[in-house]
Amino acid sequence: MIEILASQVVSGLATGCVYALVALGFVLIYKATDVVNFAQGEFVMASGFISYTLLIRYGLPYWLVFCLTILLSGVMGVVLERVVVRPIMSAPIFSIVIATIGASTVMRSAAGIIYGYDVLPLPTIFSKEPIQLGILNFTPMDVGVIGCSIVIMLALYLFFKWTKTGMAMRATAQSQTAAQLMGVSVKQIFSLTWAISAGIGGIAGVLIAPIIYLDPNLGTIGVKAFAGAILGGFGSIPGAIIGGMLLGVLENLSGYFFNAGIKQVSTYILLILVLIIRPSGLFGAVAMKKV
Amino acid sequence: MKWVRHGWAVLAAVIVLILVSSPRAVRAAEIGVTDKEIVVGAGVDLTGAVANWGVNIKAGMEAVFNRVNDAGGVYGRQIRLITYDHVYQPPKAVANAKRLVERDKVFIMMGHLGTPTTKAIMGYLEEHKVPNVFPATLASLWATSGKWHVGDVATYADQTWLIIDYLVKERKLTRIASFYQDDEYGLDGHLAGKARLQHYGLEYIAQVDYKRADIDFSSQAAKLKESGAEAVILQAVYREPPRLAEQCHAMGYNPLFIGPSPIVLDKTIELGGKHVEDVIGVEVWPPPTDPGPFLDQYRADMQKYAPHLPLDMTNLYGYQKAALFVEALQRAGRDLTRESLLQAITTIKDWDPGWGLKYSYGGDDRRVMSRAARLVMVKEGKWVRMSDWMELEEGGRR
Amino acid sequence: MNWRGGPLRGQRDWLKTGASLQALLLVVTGVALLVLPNVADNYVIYIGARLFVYILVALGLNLLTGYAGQVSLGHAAFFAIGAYTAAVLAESLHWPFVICVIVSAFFTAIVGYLLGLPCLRLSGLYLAMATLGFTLIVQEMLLQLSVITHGSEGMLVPTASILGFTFDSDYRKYYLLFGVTIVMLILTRNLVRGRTGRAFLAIRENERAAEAMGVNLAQYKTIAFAISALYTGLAGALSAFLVGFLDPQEFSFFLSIQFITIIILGGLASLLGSVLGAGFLIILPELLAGLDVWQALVYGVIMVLTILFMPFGLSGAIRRYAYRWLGIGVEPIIPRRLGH
Repeated sequence: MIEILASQVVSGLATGCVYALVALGFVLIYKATDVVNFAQGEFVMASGFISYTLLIRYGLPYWLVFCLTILLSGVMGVVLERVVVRPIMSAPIFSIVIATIGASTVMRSAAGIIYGYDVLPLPTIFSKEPIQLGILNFTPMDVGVIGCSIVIMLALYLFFKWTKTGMAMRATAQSQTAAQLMGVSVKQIFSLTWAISAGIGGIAGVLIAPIIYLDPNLGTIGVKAFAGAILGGFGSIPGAIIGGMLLGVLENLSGYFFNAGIKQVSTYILLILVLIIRPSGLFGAVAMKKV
Repeated sequence: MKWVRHGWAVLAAVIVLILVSSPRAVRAAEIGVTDKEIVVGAGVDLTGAVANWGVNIKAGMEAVFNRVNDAGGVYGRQIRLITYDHVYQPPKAVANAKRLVERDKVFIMMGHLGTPTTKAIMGYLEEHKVPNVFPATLASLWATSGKWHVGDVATYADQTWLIIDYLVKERKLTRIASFYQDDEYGLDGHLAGKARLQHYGLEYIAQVDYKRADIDFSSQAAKLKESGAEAVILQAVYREPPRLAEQCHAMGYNPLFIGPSPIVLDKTIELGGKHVEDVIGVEVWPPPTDPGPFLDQYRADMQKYAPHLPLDMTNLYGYQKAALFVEALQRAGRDLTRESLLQAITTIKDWDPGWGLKYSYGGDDRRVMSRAARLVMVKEGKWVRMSDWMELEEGGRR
Repeated sequence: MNWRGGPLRGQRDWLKTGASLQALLLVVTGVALLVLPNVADNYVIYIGARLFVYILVALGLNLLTGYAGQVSLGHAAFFAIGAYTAAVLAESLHWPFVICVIVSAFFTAIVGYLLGLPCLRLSGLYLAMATLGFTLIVQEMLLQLSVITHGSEGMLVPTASILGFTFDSDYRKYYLLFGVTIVMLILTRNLVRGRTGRAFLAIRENERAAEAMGVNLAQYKTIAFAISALYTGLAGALSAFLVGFLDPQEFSFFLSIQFITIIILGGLASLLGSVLGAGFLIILPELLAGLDVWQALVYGVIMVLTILFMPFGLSGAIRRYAYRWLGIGVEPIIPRRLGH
């Protein structure tokens, strides 16, 4: 019994890491620009398809495909920002959100028209052979996903803490006016933020597609990831990560003890309970607004 | 306030209008047929969760119609197919049905996709006396509906009966579990199986469900393993069994996996690799890659009219549906009316389109179909025949 | 009435001098809709009836999100509760149509009130997520409670009738919905111009300031939820009888997103906006229906273009051009996002 629970937790962590990666994308953009990017899930989907095209249709080697996908995803993020968000940057937030919703619809239908709605498998370099280690039972795929996620999160942490650009981004997130006064090009920072977010989405796509197979409706994972980010506290990066992982584990455990329906809503039940007690999520800061 | 006064006046006018109105008369004139063409309507999913089915069924039907039209049509009439997207939502399906019937003036509705969407429009179609032939749904709707509906598919309920008979009688297994999608799609076979097990004095040893877009089945696999089931019946499509098998094997659990026709696809093997070795499926018609006159024609038509789509069961389903329909059109003769078409359908008996299966119309269940099915198994990365064609018993849920 | 300062300034002037334009547009649309069924076929009438349903939802959602500033992604759940309650009452208890609708509307209002309570401390994204969770939980409950809701099989809804007069044709359903919509529009207008509406606006702008001015936050927020849920529940109940068939799959979070899209595209905190937004969402897909697989793509592109050119919604654009070209009303002053 404990063995089964342990394996549930491990695979839950792996799924949770993917949620966390997608959630990171949301949080980054939100922190810098106050915008909720509803197309984040579609970034993941699109990058999955890009890597599929490069790998299968053009037969490029895996490592090259990995790098190219992240690059192209970043470009996609910048394009979206310039075309859909920048023109209405000073409009009410709601309008920008609708713009991203429209963009996600366009991306989804475009993928459907180009690739069809059939499910496409994506090969992976991590094998799916199970390994037994004491009471734990997992696959190298799980390890690979968790490992990659940790690497990325570390990289981001270091980036924000030690590099000039990272600091510029943090400054912009705190106060756009002050950052601009200090010589930071806020517009460039915005584009960069979107590029990084889309890039992270790209990594998530490459990691997750071999597990759950590609299809244009993949983007709906964004909602779960979003819930994870909120659970952890939307303004904080560690919060988003922990929230996502918690979600993955919780889903698996409730799926084991109950049925599929409860598994799906367990996330949201927990979320509502947490929000009632802590309205800004587990680690979120309480928002202060001047009167 | 000025505004309020005007408002009440408008309201009063509205009430008077309602009281004075009478319902529109429903005409059942012959519609959708001219000397030059026959108009056929279908509401399907072209986007959304089941878009793959909708797009492929439509392509399969269009392949047949294009070929027939190019050859001169049926008695000189070209067949024109009009489809609208309803994204699995009943209100949209109702809107599309009204548009098809009243604006596009279709002759019949054919290949309408989805159970809730079809149920939503059935009453409307009956009221307007529009036949609903060969809808792409599973539910045994036609058994209880009026004369305007005819089905064409061997349901997963029928197939699950076959599976259970095989497991209990031939393999002598008693610990049987069910893995099913928790909506009407999976429930159809799941509940039929439950009833059939009772016939043998047995019960499911585990009933494990999943949601359609689920990506992770480790909890389901754990539950199945704990139950000690010897066989797991899969009420799923090709997406789930590979992942489930993989996760079961990762736990050191190796049951027999068996399921109705949707899992019998090369896609399943592509996705599952060695984990789906020894999985058994039910085939209700030969695979798209088999030889034979009908399948040769299928491949040629798909190549010509829909070359971008891979050959698989979803468009073959639409294809054979349309072929059946064309046969019925021809039997109805030059004097084509809705009545004559329905009459023609009932005359179909032992008709073979060219692949060794005989389609017959079955009286009170109101389905035209071949009742043949056979078992296939994955051996060394290929689906291999395990039995000859058997006769499916009609054991619907209702 | 001389106060000419603050963020409500645009609202006030609009009410006084631009009211005539908005009223004119609404009346013209109203008359057009009134005579429509006599020149159109059932398909168009049915679409029109669905339009009214969505206008009702938009009115309700606008009250909560547009006027009171509480983002809600939970309105698909209210819609579902209204629809299923009415259907179950009609099917199991055989209650008359009007009673079913009224009871289910008020039941939904109570649920809305109860949802509003835990949501009092939430705002913005967190509120949106909590209400989204509510939608998904309700959808799942509809499936689990299949004993009364028929679960995934779907549920047929009996035909509506009032005192023996049956609404069995689209024609009649259309006028019934039209009447209800007109009544609710009038009620909304009165609500918005009254004390409650002003309290909502105050809460939207700045909760602390509103509280300091004597607005009881808890009371007005929960009332906002309740009223909004009432409208949406009513719309849901009427929709159940209009379509005749219910299936839990329809009431997904995607539907909630569609509702929010309606009020933002139409224009937040605007009656005309509710009508226009609902029109956009219901009529545009029908116009595009002939495009088959390209429909969704074109629809998405149009949506993006619309919001890019009209960031304040369709009604915002009308106000702007009415001022610029015709000199009616005042340039809408809606707080712009400044750098923070």
